[in-house]
Amino acid sequence: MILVENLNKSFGKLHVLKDINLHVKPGEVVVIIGPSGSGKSTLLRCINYLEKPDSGNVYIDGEMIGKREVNGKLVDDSLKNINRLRSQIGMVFQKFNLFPHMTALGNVIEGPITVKKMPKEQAIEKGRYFLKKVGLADKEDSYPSQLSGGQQQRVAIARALAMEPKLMLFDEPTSALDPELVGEVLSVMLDLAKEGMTMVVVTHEMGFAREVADRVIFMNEGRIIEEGTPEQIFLNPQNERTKAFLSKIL
Amino acid sequence: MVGFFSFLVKYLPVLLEGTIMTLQLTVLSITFGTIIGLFVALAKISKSKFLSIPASLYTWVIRGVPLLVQLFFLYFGLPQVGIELSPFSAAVIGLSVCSGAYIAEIIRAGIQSIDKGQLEAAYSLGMSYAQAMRRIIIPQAYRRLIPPMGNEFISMLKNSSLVTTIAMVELMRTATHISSSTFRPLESFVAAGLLYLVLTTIFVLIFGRLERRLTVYE
Repeated sequence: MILVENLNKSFGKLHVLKDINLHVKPGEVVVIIGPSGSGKSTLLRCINYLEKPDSGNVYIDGEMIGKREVNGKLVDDSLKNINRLRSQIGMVFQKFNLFPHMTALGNVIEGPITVKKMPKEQAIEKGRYFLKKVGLADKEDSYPSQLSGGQQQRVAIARALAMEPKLMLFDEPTSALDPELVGEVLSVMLDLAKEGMTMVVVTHEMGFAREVADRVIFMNEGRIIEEGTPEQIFLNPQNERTKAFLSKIL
Repeated sequence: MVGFFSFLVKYLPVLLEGTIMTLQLTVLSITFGTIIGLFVALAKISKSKFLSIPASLYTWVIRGVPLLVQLFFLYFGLPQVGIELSPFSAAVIGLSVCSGAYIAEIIRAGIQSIDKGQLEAAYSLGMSYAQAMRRIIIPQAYRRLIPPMGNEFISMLKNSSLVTTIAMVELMRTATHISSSTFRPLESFVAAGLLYLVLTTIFVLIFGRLERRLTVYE
C-alpha cells in the first residue's frame, strides 16, 4: 500500500530523514514512535507529499507520488496528479486543523463536494454517516469552536474518512488533547483498525501501540532504528537507544 | 449661527449633488480597487516570480508616490502622449489604482494571517491551490479584512477630495465654487466638512455592523 524507498529530507542544514525505507501492507497498522525531532512527523508528511522529499521515492498503491517517469527520467508530476493521489490518503493532524468557518457537517462534506464533485444531498448523507461513526451525530450543526478537543479531532477523522481514502495517516492525533479526552479519539481509531483500514500512526500513546499496532517502528535522529511486533519492541528491544527511550516513557 | 443655517439651506441641494459624486467615485474606486487588490495580493504571495515581482513593483510605486502626483500624471501628463482622459475617467482610474495597492496589502496580510494548517488540511483532502484559496483561506481571511477595509474606505472617501484638482466636480469642488461666488469660505468649507463627516460616520457604522455579523463562528 505504501512503499518508501531511500527517502531523504533536509531542512536547511538539518538532515531530518536519512535513507528511510518502509513498506506498509494493505490493512496493516503501523505505529511510529521515537523522541521528538526524530523525523516521525516529517516522514508522515512526505508520504502525502505535504513535504517534498529531497531524494527517494514514495509509492501509494504502486503509484509514485510527486514524480513521474518521462523517457526514463523522473520529473515533477503535475499538481493535478499529486492532488488526486492525496485525495486517496486521509490525514489527521495534531492540531485538528478543522475549518473554523464551517459546521462539523460542513467540514465533513467539503472534500467530497469540492474535490470529488459529489452532489450535495449525497455528500450530506455520507457526511452524517461518518459523523455517526465517530459518535457525533448530534453535533453536525456545531462549529469547531463549540466542540471539545476530542470532538474536534473526531470530526477531523470523519472529514478524512468522508473522502473514502485507501489509507489514513495520523500525526500525533492525541497530543493536543486533555488526558481525559484521549480515550474517545483512540477508540475511534481502534474501530477503524478493526475494520481493516491501513493506518500509519505517529503517537506517544504506548497503550494504543501495544493494543492496535501490527508493527511498531522506532525512529531516532532521522533513521528507523528498530522495528517489530509490539511484543518485540516493548518487551524485548534490541537497540540500546530503543531501550533507553522505552525505559523513560513506559 | 442663524446665518450659517440659512446659508446651508440655500446651498445644500448643490452640495448634495457634489456629495453624491464623491460617493460614486469612492464606491467605484473601492470596487475596482478590491478586484485589483485581490489579484495583486494573490500574485504577491505566489511562488512564481513572473507574478510576484510585477505585483510587488506595483504596490511599491503606487504606495510610494503621492496620489496627487499620480492624478496629475493621468490627467495632465498622458495627453502629451496622446491619451486624453475625461476628469471622471482619470479620477476613477487614479483612485482605483491607488486603493488597489493598499487593498492588495490588506488582503495579503489577511491571507497570511490564516494558520498554515488550514492550507495543509485542504491539500490533504486533495484540493488544488485555487480550491483551497476559494473555499478555505479567503472565506476566513474575509472576516479579518473587514476592519482594515473599513479604514481604507474612509481614507479613500477623504482622498477623493484630491480629484478636485483635475477639474472633477465633486463635493470639494462644489464647496470651492460656492466659496468663490459667495465670498463665504468659512461656511462653505464647514458645510463640506460636515458632509464628509456624515459620510464617514455612516461607513464606520456599516462596517462595525458587518464586523459583528461575521463573528458568528469564533
